[in-house]
Amino acid sequence: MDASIFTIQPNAAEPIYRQLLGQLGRMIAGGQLAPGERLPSVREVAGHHAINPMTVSRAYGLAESEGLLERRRGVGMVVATQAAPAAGDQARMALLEPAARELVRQARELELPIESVLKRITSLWEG
Amino acid sequence: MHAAYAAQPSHPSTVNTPLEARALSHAFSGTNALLDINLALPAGSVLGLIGRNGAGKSTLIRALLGLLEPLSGQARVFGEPALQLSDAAKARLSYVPQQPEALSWLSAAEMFEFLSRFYPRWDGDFAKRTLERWGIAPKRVMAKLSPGERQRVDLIRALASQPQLLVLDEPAAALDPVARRELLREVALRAGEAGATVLFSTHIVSDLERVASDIAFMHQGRLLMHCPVDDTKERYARLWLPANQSAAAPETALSHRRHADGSLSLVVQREGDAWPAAASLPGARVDALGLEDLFVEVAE
Amino acid sequence: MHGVTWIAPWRGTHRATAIIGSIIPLLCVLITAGLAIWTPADKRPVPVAIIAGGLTFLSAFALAPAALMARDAARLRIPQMARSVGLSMAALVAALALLAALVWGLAGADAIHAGVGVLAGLAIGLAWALLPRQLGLLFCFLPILISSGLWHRLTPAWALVHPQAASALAVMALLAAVTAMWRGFVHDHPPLRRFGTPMVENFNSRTPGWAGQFDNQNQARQLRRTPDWLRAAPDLRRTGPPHAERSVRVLLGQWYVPMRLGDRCKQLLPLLGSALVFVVVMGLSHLHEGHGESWTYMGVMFVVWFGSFVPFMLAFSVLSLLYGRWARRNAERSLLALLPGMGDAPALKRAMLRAALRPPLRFLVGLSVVPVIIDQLTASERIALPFILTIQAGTALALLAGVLTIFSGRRVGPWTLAVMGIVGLGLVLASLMMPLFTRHMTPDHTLLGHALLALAWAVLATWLAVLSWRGWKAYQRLPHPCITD
Repeated sequence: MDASIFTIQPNAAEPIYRQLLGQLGRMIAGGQLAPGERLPSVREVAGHHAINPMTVSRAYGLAESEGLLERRRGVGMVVATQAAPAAGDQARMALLEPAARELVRQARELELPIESVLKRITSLWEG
Repeated sequence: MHAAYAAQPSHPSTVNTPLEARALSHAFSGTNALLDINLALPAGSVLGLIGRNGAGKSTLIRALLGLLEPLSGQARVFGEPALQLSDAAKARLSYVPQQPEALSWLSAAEMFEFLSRFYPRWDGDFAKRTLERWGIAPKRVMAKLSPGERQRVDLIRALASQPQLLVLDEPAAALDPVARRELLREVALRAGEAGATVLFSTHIVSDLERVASDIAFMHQGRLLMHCPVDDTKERYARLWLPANQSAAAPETALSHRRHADGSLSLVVQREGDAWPAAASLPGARVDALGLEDLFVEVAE
Repeated sequence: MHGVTWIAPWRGTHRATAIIGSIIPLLCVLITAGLAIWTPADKRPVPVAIIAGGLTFLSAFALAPAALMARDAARLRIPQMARSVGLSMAALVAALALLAALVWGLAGADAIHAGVGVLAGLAIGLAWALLPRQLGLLFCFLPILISSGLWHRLTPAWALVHPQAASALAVMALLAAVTAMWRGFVHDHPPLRRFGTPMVENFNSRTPGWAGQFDNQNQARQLRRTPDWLRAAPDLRRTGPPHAERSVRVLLGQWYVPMRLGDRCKQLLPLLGSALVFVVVMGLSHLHEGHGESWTYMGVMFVVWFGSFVPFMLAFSVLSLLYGRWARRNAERSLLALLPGMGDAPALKRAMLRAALRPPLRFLVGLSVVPVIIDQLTASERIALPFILTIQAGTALALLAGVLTIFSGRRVGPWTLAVMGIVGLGLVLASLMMPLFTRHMTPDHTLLGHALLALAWAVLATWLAVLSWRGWKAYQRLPHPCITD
């Protein structure tokens, strides 16, 4: 895997380390990154995207503490082999997070009560 | 030992602080250019200095490096007073001014040959390679180069001495997007691997967001905020209050802007984990801000 | 109706330049008035020539810079403005000529002669400023050319018979040429530009007088225009930390940059070229004369040249160079301030002074040898070595004062600069003329003349010494020598 797997939008309101973390979570949850697969090094990511290496380290470090990645001696960062199912759920939920936030924001702007919004979601879900 | 210094943030270590300003003030013919600036760059940090034209960025940089004598306060470079730098400190420092124009009667190769004698860690190989990669004729008199090429030559000059402190004043102003990206990459990697400390001023916010670890806003000679880039995005937001709620505006807001219909836009800061109480009023809205929006809100 | 806005022409130039351009003609008016009172009516032409001579300075230094303003306006496509500037100039020139005609006419003298003479002076000044620099330099030889016999031989016979008509015709032609040059300059027509930049480019509003030549923009333009084969390459041997002085010279640029002999010759080529023209013109005109004295006369001219104008121009160009260098904050000064291996602040201060002063002073000493040798060879009684050596000593002192003032960052107002330039040039001229004047004077008058001249020099020297001392004190107080404000 090379550093181009990530997409950076420096002027988004979301900090770059959060972008990296979110993309990692989604790619692992979506199966684009298989367990045991080696990730590009901090230097590679920082060099490719011209971003501060400390930002990349921070994202990798957080992903490690969340159990998404593990550090393997002589290899570097790899996707964790036993990604716990709970963690998997959490990671997939993270995929929805921006859409959910946007939905809530728009509902507030329209001054709709939460009950009717939830009811509409449920009816869509049960389709 | 370093931990002991780190425990006292109000008196930062001078040994471990490559660049520092203490209560720096300066004025040009009666108008304030710098107002009581306190700033410290820890080793390895990349500080992006942002501000509008005329905010005092260049003046601050020149004062930090001892190129001008401030009215009051002191600047220190590697712990030494900036006005009396030793050769050892100068050898570890590189500065690229805005629109560099020095030594236009030499060719790039001649300038590098000349300067290489002064810098003990000069990397002639890097200079030669990078000139070639950036397509600059090494034997052409620099007066015949375009402003963008001049700036690139000067950036190569600054990087070739392998500085531990790199100070760049508007480095991206005359560069095309490709060259700019390359410069940012170089800056990012130097900071990451060689542990170099970087200060650069810019008004191109996306550059800053890529490579800076910290950010300092300058406005009308003052330093408005100075914090890590990621924190900035998470800590500040725009709070919009409708006209009927505008009396509830929190006192601590960084900027106030009243719109024609009486509604109010404020830049607010997270307190602990929560937004100010006014954010939960009916009709109030909190918008996340990119740095550029934040900059515009604060500087307007 | 399109109104034409009156635009004050001296707006386009630095104040010191405009002051020089106005004081000299004023002085000339005063001299003329004085002469008019004491000269008999049949000798009136002399005052017209003096006024016209003074007005060449006015048009070259104070009026011609308006062309820069007009050109900028034309480049920016500002409607009407270039035209307004041109018409304002034309109106001013016409008004001055009419005024002169009126004054002379009221005094019962030849009004037409006065008007034509004033027009000629103004036109010559404008032409000098608008011509390419190399051609403009030849204009400086014009007085010598006229005083030599060559001029008369080139004039057609009918013109000698009808001097009034001939000179009016010549002035008309000159004015037409100046108008064409003006338009060419303002609208960036290429033909003249190929020869080089006009003199007026140096008179911009950022830098006083000729210092504009060392303005960043002009210097860059000159460097860009020099073809690669004519480029004088620096000699970077013996630069670096142990050779602080030589290293500073690389950073000071232009004449200061260390070079091998061949490169130095390339650098001097334009100057040597014009000197050669001078020699050829002088030689031609005097070989024709055919009297035995002519070689001595040439010797005298050489002494005058090397002994006075060369040192004067040397001091002027060196100080202008440093002034321009020190006016730029983002350039060599920042680089030098942060350059390692140059030692502590006191050491760097000394190295900079030595680097800035030693080469021109060495050159001055070399120059003063030339007149001594020629004096010995030609054994001419007219060569007054002491005067020439006085000029050189004055130049050295001016260099010292100038360098210290510039390096210490002390501000010198436009009036000081202007008065200093005029007094300096006046003293140089007076010292040169003194031996010629005193030849026909009684010993008493000669002594008085010498005493007055010595007094004037002493005043100037004291002033320069005070400036040097103040500069030295301020320089010593700087935390380091490359500080900016």
